[in-house]
Amino acid sequence: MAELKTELTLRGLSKHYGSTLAVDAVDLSIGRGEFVTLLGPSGSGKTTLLMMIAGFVEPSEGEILLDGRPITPLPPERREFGMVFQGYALFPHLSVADNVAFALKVRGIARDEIERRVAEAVALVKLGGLERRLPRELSGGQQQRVALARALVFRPHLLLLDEPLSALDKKLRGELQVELKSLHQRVGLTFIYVTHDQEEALSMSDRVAILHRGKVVQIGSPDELYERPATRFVADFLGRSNFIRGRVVEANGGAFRYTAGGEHFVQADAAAPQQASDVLIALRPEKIQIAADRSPETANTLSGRIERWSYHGTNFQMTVATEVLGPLQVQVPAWRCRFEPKDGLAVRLGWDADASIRVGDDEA
Amino acid sequence: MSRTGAVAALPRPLHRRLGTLGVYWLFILPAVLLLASFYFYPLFGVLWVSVAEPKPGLGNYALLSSAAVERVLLTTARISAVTTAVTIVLGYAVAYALVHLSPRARRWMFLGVLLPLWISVLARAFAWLTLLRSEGVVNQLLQALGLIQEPLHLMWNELGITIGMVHYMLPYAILPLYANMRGIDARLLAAARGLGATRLQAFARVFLPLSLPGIVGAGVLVFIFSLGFFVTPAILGGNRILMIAQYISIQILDLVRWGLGAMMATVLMAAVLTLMALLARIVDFRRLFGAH
Repeated sequence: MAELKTELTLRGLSKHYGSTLAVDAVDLSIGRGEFVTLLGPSGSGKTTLLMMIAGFVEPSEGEILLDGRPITPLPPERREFGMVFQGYALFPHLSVADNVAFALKVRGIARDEIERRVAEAVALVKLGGLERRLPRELSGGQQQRVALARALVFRPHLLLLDEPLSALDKKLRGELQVELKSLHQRVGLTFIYVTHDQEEALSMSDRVAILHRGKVVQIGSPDELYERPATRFVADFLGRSNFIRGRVVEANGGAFRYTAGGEHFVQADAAAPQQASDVLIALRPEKIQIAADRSPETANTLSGRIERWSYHGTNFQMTVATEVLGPLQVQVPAWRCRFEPKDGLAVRLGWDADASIRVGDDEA
Repeated sequence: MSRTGAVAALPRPLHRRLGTLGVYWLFILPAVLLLASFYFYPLFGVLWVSVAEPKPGLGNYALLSSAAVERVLLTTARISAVTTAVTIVLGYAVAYALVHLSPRARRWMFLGVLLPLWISVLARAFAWLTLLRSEGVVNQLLQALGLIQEPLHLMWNELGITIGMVHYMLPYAILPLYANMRGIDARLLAAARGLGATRLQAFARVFLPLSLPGIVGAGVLVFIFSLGFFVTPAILGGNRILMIAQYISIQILDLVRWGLGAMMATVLMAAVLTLMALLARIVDFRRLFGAH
């Protein structure tokens, strides 16, 4: 069989519960060996989408194709997808080894083959020596690894992960993100990962699909999504952002000028918008330059007063009240801040024409 | 006189003098007195009679090896065991359905399960009598359908007793089984399916083992109830099949053999206590009866 580049394809996949649309006509192609994250707030439909891929939820409309074959009518046990559940769902009455062996036992595989592959999977997630323990005798991180080994041991087509790190504390979460990423590289399997945690999504994924109200709003690599959010929702959900509402006054090759709050600003944009149209500009707090004594040498400048500020070790976060644009969030690396932040201090703000980006307004 | 003296002269509140625990003891004191005088005292009377009548000694217990007593013990054990097995199988199915139904359907089904509990056991035994006797509803129906020529013997035998007892015991099996099944995480079954198990495999390898404490708890409970059951066997057995409770009643009320009756009662109690002790080692009682 020819090596297919695309492994899993979702075509117009929808799910309604009564009159509510949990997933709304999602089209998605996932390549072989890719790490794709479905990211969205709770209620965005990401878990329903994953459950449809896994076969636990029947789609109302649409199709799921694996290597070009439709698998929509197949029950979960015939899809051969590994799954790591939220809270792990380890079998409490079975030891670590028996949990991992489960998928092999129900397939009627020979005993010595089972032993060999369980040992292999246990070693893969570094759980050697804990085979005889029961799940309740393990820490959260260890349980998570058992769930991974259990889902990988039968060599599934792909691995589905439903918020696998959400039950762990922050530090452990960070460590396991690194481990998951390296596990993904070692096994070379397609991972489909569901989370509401943007940091997890950005640090691990090859591509992230952002879900909002049952739709995929944008899909792309983490830096693409962060640097070039398509809509206000994406800019706001991935990191933080200031939003400036303006009206285009003049557009020419690669940039346009707009007014907001009575002042003119410049925005770089390959596809210049219509004259006199309304635009929404997203401006990340860390892309604003701030100085106390002089104006930053940037295309756009503005003056304001520090309303609130807080120190976060690596950076200062400030809210600067401006007459023109209202309050703006600003973030400055602590080592580069040349002045002592004080409430009420007069400051100058500035940003380059390509530091901000025009986004679609989907929050209206 | 100093101010502290005046304060000390006030009566201290009750709970200060008794301690918090003491107050609760006070609450249950009437019940304890009632139990002591009307339950434990007569109970010791029974124990005493079993070694004192008709003459002091263990003579009554020697009768345990007599053919009549042995037959009663065996019959009791057999009927109780069959009743327990049938009740658990039927009750398991009902509890399983209850757990998986919509809340609305579940409420109606619970009503169906609990309703018989509010009807006198005597009324239910006589109801079975009208259903099961030779000219009863069941036999007439089967004959009308041409399935049988002669009426089936559905009562005055162990079958009739077992039918009536299973009916009585079902709620006592369903409730602990249901409580246990409610505690089984539905995601475990989904996980099993996701790992390639069919519905049947997921049930056999995950659900059934996890419901085992419920089965053991409900089983011992029903078995213990069955051992000392009186009304249903007396009516549906029609004096031909004797279980231990009815045997005791006959010894004491009809034959006035107090010593033998008391001995059998003591044996029954010892059996029940032994079973309870065994059960306590396997399952958490407080959990089984929903005290958590």
